[in-house]
Amino acid sequence: MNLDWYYMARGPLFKFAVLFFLFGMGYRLFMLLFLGWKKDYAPARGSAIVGIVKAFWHHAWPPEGLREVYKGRLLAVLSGDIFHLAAFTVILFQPAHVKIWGKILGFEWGSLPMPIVDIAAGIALISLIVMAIDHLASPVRHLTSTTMSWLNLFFVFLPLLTGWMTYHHLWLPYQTLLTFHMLAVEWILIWMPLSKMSHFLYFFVSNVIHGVKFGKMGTL
Amino acid sequence: MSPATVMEDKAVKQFIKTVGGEIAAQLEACMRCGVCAEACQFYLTTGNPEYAPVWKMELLRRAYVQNFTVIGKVKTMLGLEKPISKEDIAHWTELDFHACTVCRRCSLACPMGIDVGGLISKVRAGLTAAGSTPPDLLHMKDKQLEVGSPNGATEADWIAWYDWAERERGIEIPRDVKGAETLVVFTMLELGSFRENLVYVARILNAAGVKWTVSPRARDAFNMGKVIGDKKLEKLFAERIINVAKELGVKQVLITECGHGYAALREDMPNIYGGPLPFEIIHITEMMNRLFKQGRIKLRKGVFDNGHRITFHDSCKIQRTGGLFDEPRELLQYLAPNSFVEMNPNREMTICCGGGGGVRAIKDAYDLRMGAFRLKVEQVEKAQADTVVMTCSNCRLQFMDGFKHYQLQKEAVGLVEMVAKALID
Ligand code: SF4
Ligand code: SF4
Repeated sequence: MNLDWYYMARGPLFKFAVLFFLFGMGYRLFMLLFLGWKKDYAPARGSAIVGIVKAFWHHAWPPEGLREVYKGRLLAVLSGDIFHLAAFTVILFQPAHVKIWGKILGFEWGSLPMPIVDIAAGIALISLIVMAIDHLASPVRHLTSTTMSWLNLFFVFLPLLTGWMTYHHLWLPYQTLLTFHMLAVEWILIWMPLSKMSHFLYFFVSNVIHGVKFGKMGTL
Repeated sequence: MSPATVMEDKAVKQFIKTVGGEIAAQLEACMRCGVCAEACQFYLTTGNPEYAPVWKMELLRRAYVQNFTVIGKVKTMLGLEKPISKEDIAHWTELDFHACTVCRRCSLACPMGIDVGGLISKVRAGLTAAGSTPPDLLHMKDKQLEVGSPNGATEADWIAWYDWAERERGIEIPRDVKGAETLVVFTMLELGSFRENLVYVARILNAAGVKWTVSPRARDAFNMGKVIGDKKLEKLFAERIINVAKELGVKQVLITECGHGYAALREDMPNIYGGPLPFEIIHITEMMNRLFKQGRIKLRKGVFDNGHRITFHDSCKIQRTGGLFDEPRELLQYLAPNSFVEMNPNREMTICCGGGGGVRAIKDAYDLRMGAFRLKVEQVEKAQADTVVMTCSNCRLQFMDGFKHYQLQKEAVGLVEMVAKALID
């Protein structure tokens, strides 16, 4: 691949993607606030704070009744959870990534040995394949799937695959693979605010809303 | 504009009106993973993917995406987004009214924390705004508007119930007493099918020395406005109770065995008014527990330990979203310490009886609700219980229909009845 592309991907494109991501997500957050929030005047039976803690805790340690529900969609729940854990291990602890984080944030943390990161990347890739199978196999998931959901899966798959290929020096020259990898990451940063991939932000907002509501009701 | 267009327009307008930050955040968070389906009794008993909670809120999602998001607007312009059609409205009326009790079990199952059931009630509101409410529910709404109760019970019918209790059971039913502490509000569902409840409630309150009153004007606790998603009507019906309570100067409005009425008054009305109500809204379950703990009523310990196994059904509006989990259990553990067993899952993950949210009133939904009740039968049988106790008359009627449908010799009992029968005079 042309060396210009490599430098473009490392420099201006990366900066653009990060800025696009930050502005895009900022815009979406602003829109949320701008849409208005109603105060809840119903008398509280329980605590909103306890509700918030439980809302998040139930993800880590589902209570018995919830475990029963999750069992019915084990493939979706497990592939989702495992994917996120594995993907964040790669994003946050791959040695080169730690350096990039250090440059952006001004401080670094310890990285994990590459063989561990490599396994995590493999797990993340397999989880994505399982998710794709679930899109076809589960009647509900099949019904709710759209072109966008398939695109999301594909766009997440790309940086993981190219990163993994780069590490293993597979098929193409190292620098070409690295360029592809960086371009795939940059595309995801741009795609995120435009798509459902922004769900990571809403995950927190939605679960806080959930915790406050059901905590106050005395449900949680 | 053709009538059809007006219809879709009304639904979309209602959806747009509904969307605020809270709803937008939840719709944005949904990954369409389908986990919520596994919580829904209608999906679980039919396997129909369209009964998945996420699909039942699809119209609201579409209206949101098409009107509030940049990508959605662009896609709509390019014809890539499907606008809501007349056919969609008819189709989702079946999905959201016949196959949803708004029990909100799905809300507790969603990994993203989305209040799916709550959002489905917003879809119901849009469908109602579009004039697409199931005729059986419309009929009940009209009856409540005309005569006060959704089943057509008039003021004269209510007075006849009070008179019957005085004449046949020899218990005074105080009416419109100014300065009473507590205004007791029943529902036609309860008195129409279990009129002894009037006597039981009276006995419990008298035993505790509560200064209480009923009012033939403060009716019905059941609120068809809430069922169909019409806030104006919900307010109108609730105000029939609130205005009497204000006029009599009570400190408390006691809702008897009705989940819907309790939720409409306690949860919805302060938000419709934009401030707290000037009196407490209390459910009979909490009241009985409170009076018992305060020592104002004395009960015979273990009186229902008679060799039968007793279990408790958590209702959606009183337990799951009302938070009254321990109150009935503490009473049952006292009344039947050796016979009381739990069904599983229970408390906030309770499986809905399948008859709430107006479903029991829709004749065409009979097969669906009986199918859904199968899950409850399995739970009761697993617990090896002969008697199921509950605190909502609508649940109780659904249990009675269900036990008959499945030809089971089991009893559905209201907690009020048990407590009244256990009173030490
Ligand atoms: S479980 Fe939650 S995130 Fe998943 S489809 Fe249902 S509502 Fe959406
Ligand atoms: S609210 Fe209850 S009945 Fe309705 S979709 Fe959710 S789980 Fe099913």
